[in-house]
Amino acid sequence: MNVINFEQHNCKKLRAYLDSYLNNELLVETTHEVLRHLENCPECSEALENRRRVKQRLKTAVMKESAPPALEEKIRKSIRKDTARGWPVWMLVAAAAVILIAVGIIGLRLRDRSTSTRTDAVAVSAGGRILEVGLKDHVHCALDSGFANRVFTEAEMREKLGPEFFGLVGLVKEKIPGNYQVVVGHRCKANGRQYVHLILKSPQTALSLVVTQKNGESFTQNQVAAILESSGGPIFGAHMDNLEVAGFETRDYLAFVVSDLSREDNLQMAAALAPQVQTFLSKLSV
Amino acid sequence: MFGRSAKAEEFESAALPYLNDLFRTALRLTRDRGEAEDLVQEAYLQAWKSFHRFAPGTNCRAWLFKILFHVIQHHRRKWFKMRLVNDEDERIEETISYEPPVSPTLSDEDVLAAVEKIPPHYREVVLLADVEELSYKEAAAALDIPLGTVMSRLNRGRKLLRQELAEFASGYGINQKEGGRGA
Repeated sequence: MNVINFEQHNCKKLRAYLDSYLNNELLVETTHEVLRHLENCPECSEALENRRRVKQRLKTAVMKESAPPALEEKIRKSIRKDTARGWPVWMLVAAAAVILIAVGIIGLRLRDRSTSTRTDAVAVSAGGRILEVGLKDHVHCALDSGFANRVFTEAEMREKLGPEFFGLVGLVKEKIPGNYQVVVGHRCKANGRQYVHLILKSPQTALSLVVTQKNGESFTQNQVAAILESSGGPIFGAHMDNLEVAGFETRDYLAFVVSDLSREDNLQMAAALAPQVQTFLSKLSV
Repeated sequence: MFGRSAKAEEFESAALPYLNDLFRTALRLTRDRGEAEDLVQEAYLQAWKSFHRFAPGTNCRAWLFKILFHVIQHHRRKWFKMRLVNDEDERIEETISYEPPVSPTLSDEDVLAAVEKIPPHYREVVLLADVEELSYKEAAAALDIPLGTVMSRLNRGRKLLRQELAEFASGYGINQKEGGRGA
């Protein structure tokens, strides 16, 4: 531990620590050294008193001001106005789409029941918690292992993803909002499963795009959260462990978008990425 | 709809107690009551819209300051005629060597006028740390700058404030006797 020794008359050195002393931010040992210097130096004691006075005067002067009484009511009104506005149009459209697809799925199931009942049953049992597969990698890798706080160069991502999957980085960059950037792209392993993992960051949050090979699994239709306008394909969704998980699939791969965004924002991000990511994954041979 | 109203009430009771804190900070940064009101109102509306992302049990006040500064950032160019911070750093390093005493006879208006003469980058850190008493970490998060930058700006901001206050005092003929002692 470094203890600062303020030799007598070393006022310049001590002044650099005066504010920290005033705010009780120094180590006990350093505080003792400051006190020892102050006892023998009236100039520094005066400087300390001066800084204490400035801080107090500043606080008193600024805190004298308060918000106009009408402002609180204005804010309440704007919140009520926003509340009364109800759900945005796109959410209503999404809700309508979900209802339509649910009706469609029921119709399909009724039609297929006579021919594929056994296959259906296998898919449901294997896919019941399939959205957890993506969630686990986000929690293990982006959050617990701290990869969300790292920034890889493009060369590092190319090396870690390999030529097969590096193309994902470019197409994701094209589709994400301007306040997001791809900070990590690598292959990782969680719970004995291999993943291709991209971490996207905005000033507010970190989000994962997780891809893994299918292991005989598929999402279950009761987890459909939205329908892609472009392809009519479903996006599956669930809220787990205080995170939002959205999933989509190709013949051989499962893909997940996991974040702490709201359900609608996370779904929107998944919907923005899904068409290109699905095309990319469909071209890969397993 | 009932759910949203209940949520709005929850938001109002969690966030509105900090209205004065946000307003006076915005006021000291804009120097204009109308502008400060608009910024604070916008910050509250944005906070409400992202309230579902606020983690209960975390510091609501620090979260609101972060949103306020995000809003301010968007409006900043309109009303800040800022010099490059690095240039300012140089100027301060060159000119501050003497620690002038601050007269107790200065009025609150003098103190506020002195605060407003400090460049915005320093002023906002001094306001957050020394008036609103946010931790360095909270101030760094609110301003979206590194912790080290908070500390260096705070150090320089405090020095500037002392200098401005002393200049006010000498303008009134106070503190004329002190010489240029090194500090």
